[in-house]
Amino acid sequence: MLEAIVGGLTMLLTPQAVLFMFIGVVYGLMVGILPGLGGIVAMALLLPFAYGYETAAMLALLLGAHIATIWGSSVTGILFKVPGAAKSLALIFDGYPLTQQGHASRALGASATAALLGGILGAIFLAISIPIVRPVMLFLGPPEYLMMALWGLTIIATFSEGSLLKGLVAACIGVLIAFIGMDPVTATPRFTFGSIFLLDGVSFPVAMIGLFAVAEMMKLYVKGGSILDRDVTEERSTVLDGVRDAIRHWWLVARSSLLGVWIGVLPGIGASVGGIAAYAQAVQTSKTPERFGHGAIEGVIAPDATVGANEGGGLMPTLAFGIPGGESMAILLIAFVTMGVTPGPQMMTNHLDLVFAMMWIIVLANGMTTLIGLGISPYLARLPAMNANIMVPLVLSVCFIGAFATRGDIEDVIVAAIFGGIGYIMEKYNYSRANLVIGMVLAEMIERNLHISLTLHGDWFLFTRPITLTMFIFVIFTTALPFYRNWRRGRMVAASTGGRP
Amino acid sequence: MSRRAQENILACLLMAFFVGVLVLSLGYSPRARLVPVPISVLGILLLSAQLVWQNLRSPDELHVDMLEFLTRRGGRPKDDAGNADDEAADQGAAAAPPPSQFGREVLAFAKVAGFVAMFLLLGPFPSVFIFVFAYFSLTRHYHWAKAIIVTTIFVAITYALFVEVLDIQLYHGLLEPLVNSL
Repeated sequence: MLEAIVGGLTMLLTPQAVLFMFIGVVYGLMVGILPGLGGIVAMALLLPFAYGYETAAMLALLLGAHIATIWGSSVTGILFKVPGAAKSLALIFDGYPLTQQGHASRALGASATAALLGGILGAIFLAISIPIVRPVMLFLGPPEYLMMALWGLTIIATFSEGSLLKGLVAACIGVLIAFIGMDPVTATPRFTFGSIFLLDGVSFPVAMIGLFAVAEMMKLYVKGGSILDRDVTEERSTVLDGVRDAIRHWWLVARSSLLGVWIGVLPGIGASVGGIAAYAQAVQTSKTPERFGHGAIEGVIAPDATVGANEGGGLMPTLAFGIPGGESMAILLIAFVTMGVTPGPQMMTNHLDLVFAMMWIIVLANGMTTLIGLGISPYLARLPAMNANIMVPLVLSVCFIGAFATRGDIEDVIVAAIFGGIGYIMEKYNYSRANLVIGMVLAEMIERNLHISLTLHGDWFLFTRPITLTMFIFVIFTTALPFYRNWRRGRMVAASTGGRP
Repeated sequence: MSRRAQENILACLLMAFFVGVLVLSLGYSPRARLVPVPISVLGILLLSAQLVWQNLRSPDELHVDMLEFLTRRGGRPKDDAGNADDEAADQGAAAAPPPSQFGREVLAFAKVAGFVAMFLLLGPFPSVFIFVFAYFSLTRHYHWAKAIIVTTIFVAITYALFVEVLDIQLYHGLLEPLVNSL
């Protein structure tokens, strides 16, 4: 194994591989910052240019671009409350308040460092856990994935932006919006009203562009001024403060990274669930949970570490079974086919050096992204200070072109505008937009796994599979825990004040 | 219109949405409606509870923060840099309600709708040019000459990025046949 680790690194130490990784990272950062275009688009566009070069160089280009888009999408989430991709959604909860308070540099520094540490820890965890991971992956089936999705949905209750009821209503709306289009199980068009465009469903990036970017620009127009709070005239912290924060919260980074690896390892779960779960565990384990949502740096560190580590985990099912861990991994599979490499169990024996080369790419590309990111963060941090009269037309233009570019359908521009209006109203009346997006993310996973579970294991699958039942009890426990704590705290307060409120 | 009335109208609209989804779902096969029906029923129940909740509480209590509810902490929290929020300012703000922004909100919706309409008619880049230039000029942020320069540079960069680098296929707008026929 040690030989494979060294062999993997040696494959990357060629001028071509290093140059391709650099190009990939710079390109990925650019694409990541554009709304609606994430790692999948970046990799898909690079694929035709990557043929005919060294295997390691080709992988460095593709994976380097993909890794860089992750931090790129975090940047817009932190600075403008516009998550570039679903996986960066959790960053808006605390990243944006930090920007408003004049701590954008610090948030960007913490984000980049957490992503780097997450990437490194993720690669290490994965290398150690390769022998354990395979049997676990084979052990879990659709009923267990269903429980994980339900867990993700119940997490919503613990960090709704507004009221609990409104948060849950928003999640229900998100779930139902995700059902627009052709039902993949029964081939029934649902809620399409005869529209051919709606058969494909509502594009996820387009909905996010509308809900967050367009709505935020409308809000900024109504408010006037700039994104920063009126009393903030200059940056109150530096990028290095953020770096120190990420290192100081090393235990949170380690926990979040481990979570990221395991979520990445499970095919079909995706980093979006990982980022949300990481945020929830950061809130639940914090001694001062009331700071979250108002600019807690841990709320930036945890999701970024998870998403950084997730990529290493996502490689596992892709390489070991040929099952893509996510959409971007599906593109990587296509690249393997062109290289003549067949992913599967033999990959872990015959091509172990290639597996470790990819681990190294994740580590090195993360390092390169962080270095560039830390360098440009002070300049990026100045963007929110721009006047609304400049920012609104420019950001709206990029958003609508981005919405069109997502699928090349002009109808997506209309969808983005409609979601912009919905997002503005939701924000005004405290219906959590994030919950709506989480509902959309998890809806398909819940429905697909429920159907498969019922078909494979019957109506009572919950009680016939012990692991599913255990996970179900865990879901109930984690949902009820905050309420129980609140009830206990209330009793203690009542006891200490002699029954007075 | 009072805040409570606005909240009630929105809740009723959402209720209508969930009822609509429920009615439509009942027309699908049992497997196709397996998840949509319970979710829409749940939405109706939640909104009913919300309607009762928001009409039994004082208008000041309409916004309930979940984290505050769960942690039962009084007052607003300190930010991460340790700066306590100015509660006196908050109280002052609560005493004097903010001026109505209805006019600007209508304008915001109108501007987005107008931009999208232009996008459909003219295609992305001509509409971006007109929208950005008009915005700069009408808000008098830039002198018209400077507005043209900034707009041109922005459109050129956007075009290079989306069309040249990312190879996005252009949409030419609904008016293209009309322009071609002239």
